[in-house]
Amino acid sequence: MLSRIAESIFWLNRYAERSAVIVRHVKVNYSISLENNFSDHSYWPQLLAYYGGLNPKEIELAIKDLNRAAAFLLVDDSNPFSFKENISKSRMNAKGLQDHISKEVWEQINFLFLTTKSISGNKPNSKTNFQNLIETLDKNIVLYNGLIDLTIARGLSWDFLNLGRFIERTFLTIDWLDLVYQKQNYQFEDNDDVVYWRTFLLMESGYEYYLKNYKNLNSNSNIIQQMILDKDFPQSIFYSISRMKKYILKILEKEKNIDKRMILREFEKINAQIEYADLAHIKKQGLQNYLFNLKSELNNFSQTVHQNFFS
Amino acid sequence: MNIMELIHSYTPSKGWDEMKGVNGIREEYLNFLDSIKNLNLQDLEFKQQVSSELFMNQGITFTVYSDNEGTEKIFPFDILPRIINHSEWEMIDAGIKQRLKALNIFLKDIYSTQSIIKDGIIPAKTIANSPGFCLQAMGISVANDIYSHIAGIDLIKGENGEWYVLEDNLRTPSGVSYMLENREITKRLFPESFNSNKVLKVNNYPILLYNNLCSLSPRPISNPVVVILSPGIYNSAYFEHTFLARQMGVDLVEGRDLVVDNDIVYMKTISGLSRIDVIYRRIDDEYLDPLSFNPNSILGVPGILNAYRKENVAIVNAIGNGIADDKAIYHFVPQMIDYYLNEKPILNNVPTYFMNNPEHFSFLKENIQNMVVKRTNQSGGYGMLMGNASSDKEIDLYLKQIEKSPDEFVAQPIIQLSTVPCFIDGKLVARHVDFRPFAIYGKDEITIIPGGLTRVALKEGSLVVNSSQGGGSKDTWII
Repeated sequence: MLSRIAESIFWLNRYAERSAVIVRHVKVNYSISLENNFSDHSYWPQLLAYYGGLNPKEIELAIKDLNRAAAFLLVDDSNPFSFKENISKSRMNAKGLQDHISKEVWEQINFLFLTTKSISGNKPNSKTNFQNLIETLDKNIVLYNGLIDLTIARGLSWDFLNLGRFIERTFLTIDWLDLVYQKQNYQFEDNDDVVYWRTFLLMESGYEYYLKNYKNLNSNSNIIQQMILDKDFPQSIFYSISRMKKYILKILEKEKNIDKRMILREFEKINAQIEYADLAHIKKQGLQNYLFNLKSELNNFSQTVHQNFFS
Repeated sequence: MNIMELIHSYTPSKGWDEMKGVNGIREEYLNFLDSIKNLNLQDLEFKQQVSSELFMNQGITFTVYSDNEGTEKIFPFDILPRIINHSEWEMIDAGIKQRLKALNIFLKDIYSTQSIIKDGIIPAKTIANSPGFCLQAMGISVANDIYSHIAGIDLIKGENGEWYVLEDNLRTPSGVSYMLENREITKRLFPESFNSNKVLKVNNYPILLYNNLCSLSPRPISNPVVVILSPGIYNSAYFEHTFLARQMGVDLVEGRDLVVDNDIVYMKTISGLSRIDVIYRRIDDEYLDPLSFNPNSILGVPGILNAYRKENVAIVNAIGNGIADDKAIYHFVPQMIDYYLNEKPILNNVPTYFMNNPEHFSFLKENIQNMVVKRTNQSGGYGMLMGNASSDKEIDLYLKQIEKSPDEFVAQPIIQLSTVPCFIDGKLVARHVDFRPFAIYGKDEITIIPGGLTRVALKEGSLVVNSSQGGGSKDTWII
């Protein structure tokens, strides 16, 4: 496989994963805010800062209008981190590798691109039905992921697609845990704010899973357990890193001329941080430090992937 | 309103209309019209909507370079097929084969012994002045002596129903993907009509092309490595590059993916360098190798010309083909056919006037309302002046440009292109068309795919069919 193609496949899915998370986060917060306009239980300030790069003053202005805030995160041309921008980059990568992905996947990413292209977020039209727009984008990005699973052959393309997806997912989970626990001063003790945590779990598609699996009342430590250490929860860091391991090993197995030792060494540095960790270990290290170290190791591994496969 | 009422209200153009003549509907259209007689206006509108959505979602687009806004555009598609009868097709098939044979011998001759100049058939000055003549291609031998493996010949039908060759495209002719996609969409829109008309198939083109490319491999191996070399996603024909790569199952590469080491071309893969045998390049000569051509090119591959010269890689089409489809050389193709093949041309040429000839230039000035003037080194409808559609000021400015560099211009009489029915805004209207069949020149034979790309001038009365200038396309049925 051409190095350029491998890189495009990797980034195609990194951007798509990020797009999927943006729209899911907006969807949950939009829905909550419809009942209770910009309540304390929503995450709009964090969303606008993380996916829009806004400063506190700009955030104060943006959250005066729910539709404008949603438009800014989804389709506003002035926001370089919006859903539209991420899908556009994903589609640009897909365009350069149409002979390596299925026609169905290309058509789906093209559909998402055309849907967002037709809307200008600079001047949100009062007639734009944001509820419908959010639903359309959410369903279609899920459909994109389904088509990836259904139509991409299990060769190198599949491996790089998944490597991109799980690296991006791990980065996003680390950053969002940092954002939500910052407000809790990185405490492991419960703050009793059930709605705060419920919103976050809905944003991570983990609310129902949480209800079934975590019966004790300490939400703060339960959520650390679920989002970092849970082996089965698909948004958890443990799960994402175990998937990364699977796909990096598959790539190395197929490509004989690669310096395996260097890549595996960098990977094991992250893996060791998660595979042998437990709540006590994280607590001892401090959640903020733990997340910071994990992100640093992930950055190093990501660079190693670039150096060995793409350059 | 049903379809028969639409057909009855159809007014053909003053020139040659391919569906309706003086004696009513032409024979080749009867069967098709009969098969859709139960459709009504809403059915056609629905089919048109379906086709637009298919093109849009599949990303079947082209890029217009002068357009600063969204660079990608959908190539407008008219749902009604154009129909050509088999006897007419046989004449076109034979005419193109004859023309390609002569042009191929011409390319071999012009880059080796140049006997056509020595024998006074083409003036040396015409060759020397042509921007398509490539000095770097002199003396290079190519596999099987074939230079123009892939060709697209532009044909038009004149006022009396006679066919003319408008242009020979022997470098990187595009449009074949639209021919194949148009066919796929028409099959979905008119499945029954398609069967009952016994339309000849076009869909084996990618297999033919792949086999032809494999046969050119310099290494005698069973599975040579074939790639398509594209300038990248911003190229106007990028959709076609990806389409062909997918249909043939070969890698689509860009210049930055390739490297030449010791006169062997490799592509950079995740597990190291991998040797390439055959390159179907969709990059012009000028940008192919910065060491031999344009030194500023970042699209090409340094050293690729040497690898080609040493026969370590096959490049398709051959380097230097621009001389054969130059608009000034076009005039000499009938003489080439006579000189090389000792035959009479089957297909007509449009009379061509050279602006470096004072008599021709005077003739142009006197008759400019009926003439089209073209730059010899441009295509796609760029740099062209239609005398009957230009203001006096535009004509004056253009004439001054010709006076400055007369070698760069040729003029031809405006041929009133034939018209076909198109479904536009709920009506059946006559629009002018041209036709580009595609040919594959193999070791043993030349194959012309029975079909081609019909381009339509969508504006009423317009004769400009280029996609970059507001043209559209339709499927072409050979029955």
